[in-house]
Amino acid sequence: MSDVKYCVPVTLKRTVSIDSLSVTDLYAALKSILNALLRPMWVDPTTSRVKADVTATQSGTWNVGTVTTTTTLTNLGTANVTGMYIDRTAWGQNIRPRIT
Amino acid sequence: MTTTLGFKDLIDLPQWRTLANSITATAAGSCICDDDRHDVSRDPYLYLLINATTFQRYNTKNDEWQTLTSPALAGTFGAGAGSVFVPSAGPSGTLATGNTTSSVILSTALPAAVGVNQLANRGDGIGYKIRIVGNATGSSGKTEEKYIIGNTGGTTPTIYLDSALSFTPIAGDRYEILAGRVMLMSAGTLAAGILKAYDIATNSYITLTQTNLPATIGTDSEFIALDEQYVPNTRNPGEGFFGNLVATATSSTSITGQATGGDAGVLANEYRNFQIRIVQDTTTPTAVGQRRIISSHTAGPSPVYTLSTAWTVTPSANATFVIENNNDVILSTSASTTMYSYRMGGFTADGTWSYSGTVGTNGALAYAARPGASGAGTCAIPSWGLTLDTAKNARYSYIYWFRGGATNTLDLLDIAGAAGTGAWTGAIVYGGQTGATTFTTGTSSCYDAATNSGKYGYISVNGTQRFARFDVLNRVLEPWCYLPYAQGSAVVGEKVATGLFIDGTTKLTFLYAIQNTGSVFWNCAIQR
Repeated sequence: MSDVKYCVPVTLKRTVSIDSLSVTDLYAALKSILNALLRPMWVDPTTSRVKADVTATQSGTWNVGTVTTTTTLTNLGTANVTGMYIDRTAWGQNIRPRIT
Repeated sequence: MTTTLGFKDLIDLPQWRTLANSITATAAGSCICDDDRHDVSRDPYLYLLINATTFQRYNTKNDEWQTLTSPALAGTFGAGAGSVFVPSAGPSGTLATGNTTSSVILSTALPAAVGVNQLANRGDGIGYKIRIVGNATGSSGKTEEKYIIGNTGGTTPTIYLDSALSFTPIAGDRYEILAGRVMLMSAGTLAAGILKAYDIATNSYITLTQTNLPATIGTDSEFIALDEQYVPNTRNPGEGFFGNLVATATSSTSITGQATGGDAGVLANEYRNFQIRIVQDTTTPTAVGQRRIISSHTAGPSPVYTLSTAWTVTPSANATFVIENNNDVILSTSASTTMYSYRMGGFTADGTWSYSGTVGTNGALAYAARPGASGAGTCAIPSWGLTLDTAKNARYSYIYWFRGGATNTLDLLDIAGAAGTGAWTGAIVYGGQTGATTFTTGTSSCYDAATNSGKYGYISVNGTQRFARFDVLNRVLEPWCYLPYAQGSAVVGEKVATGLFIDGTTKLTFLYAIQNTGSVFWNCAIQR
């Protein structure tokens, strides 16, 4: 298990003509600001840009390499993440409902 | 509530799904086979011979493999190796004293000791089927089949039955355990031990005679089992092609069929080279259980079946009998026109093989040589599961045999075509024949006798992702569901088999494919 931090730039600036400002525009702008404020954001002092921390949990590596076998998507992670289970899910959705 | 199948053409397309990998990757000669019975007695396993020492089984209900004890086959395993499932082979012999209507005690020993209740679970919680033949002097003259629900241990166990027999067996009555055996054949220079049978009920091996097989087994092989348990899709194993027939006359070398119903409509020699088995004769009990090959017969009504060998005990005039497949295993192998045969079904004793022109001591028919030599990719599809057309343009006796060797040539073996040999028609015309679809290394086939009126055999085309199926009723080759997953290098050997879902009268066959040069395993519902 490892935690990986990603820096996600968030742009708050939106240009709106005051003459064409509508209630919808105000609502959208306000929603954007409030949503951004609810996120764990911080200001990067070197760029003065607001950034957010995203924490993700995974096992194995993130690189999805070449699919080399029909049963395992190499490097995708645990053994359970395999073509077999994707395949079976598709079969369950397409074929199984016809057998009742 | 009975299962209902609601597939709609075009909307619901066939689709492969990935199953558990085999434990060991396949290679040249690796081959898979299955039990083609289409009732509950069907063995739930598929059997995969990987090489001379690696033999595995796949439980179709549990989706997992298991490696069995090594068969330790002789020879040099590779191209030409093969296997075939034979359901009416297994332990058989006579019963001891002390039987009841719900339990029997074996006198003839099993080939290997069994554990307590081992025979009551073949791998899916259901016991093996046992046939009791009341043919000792003074016995019932009846044949009845039951499932085993328990047994004591050892080689002569007491076996407990799922329901009561209508008679109490006596000492000397016959038992036949319909668990099946898998014939396993290696390749290379012929030698003792190149051919064995895996006895399913006792989980043991029996060495079979290899005499009269080719000096070197290679190129590719195709087995067809004409087992008495294999019946049309509308019948159950044990019923033959018509169900029970009541004789109207008998002699030491013949038996006469019905004047109405049953076999009254047979054409002359339609069932030549098939088997007659006496299933009930309360007047002459010792006649029950006898099996004889039909050498010729007249047309119905009241068809007279002349036998290839006389009865040991002539049945009474009104004995009950069935007409069944003749229990031969037929083999085309080693880039030859010679056909090889061995009577493994019907609990027949071991002996030398028959081959074109020569009848071996095992007693199988010596089938005529095929019109052209077989090659890599040779594969065959029988017709015994069919619902026949009214005109009988299709016959149970037909076996469609692709020649292989990078050709699209299809030969037809009519088992009933001539007494003792059958007859071939070379290079028949069939729908879907095209120079673009030829069969070579990697091609293998299997037969679905249970669904679609028993008219389709399935073909893995050259070990690629392409599949086809052949309609034995209408002689048409049509594409089957594309396998969207990559195969490994194409290698000879049977790589497809079938499994069967059964719920009352609802049946759904599944086509299984093991990867060429690999271990990935798939199946696909034969939904149309």
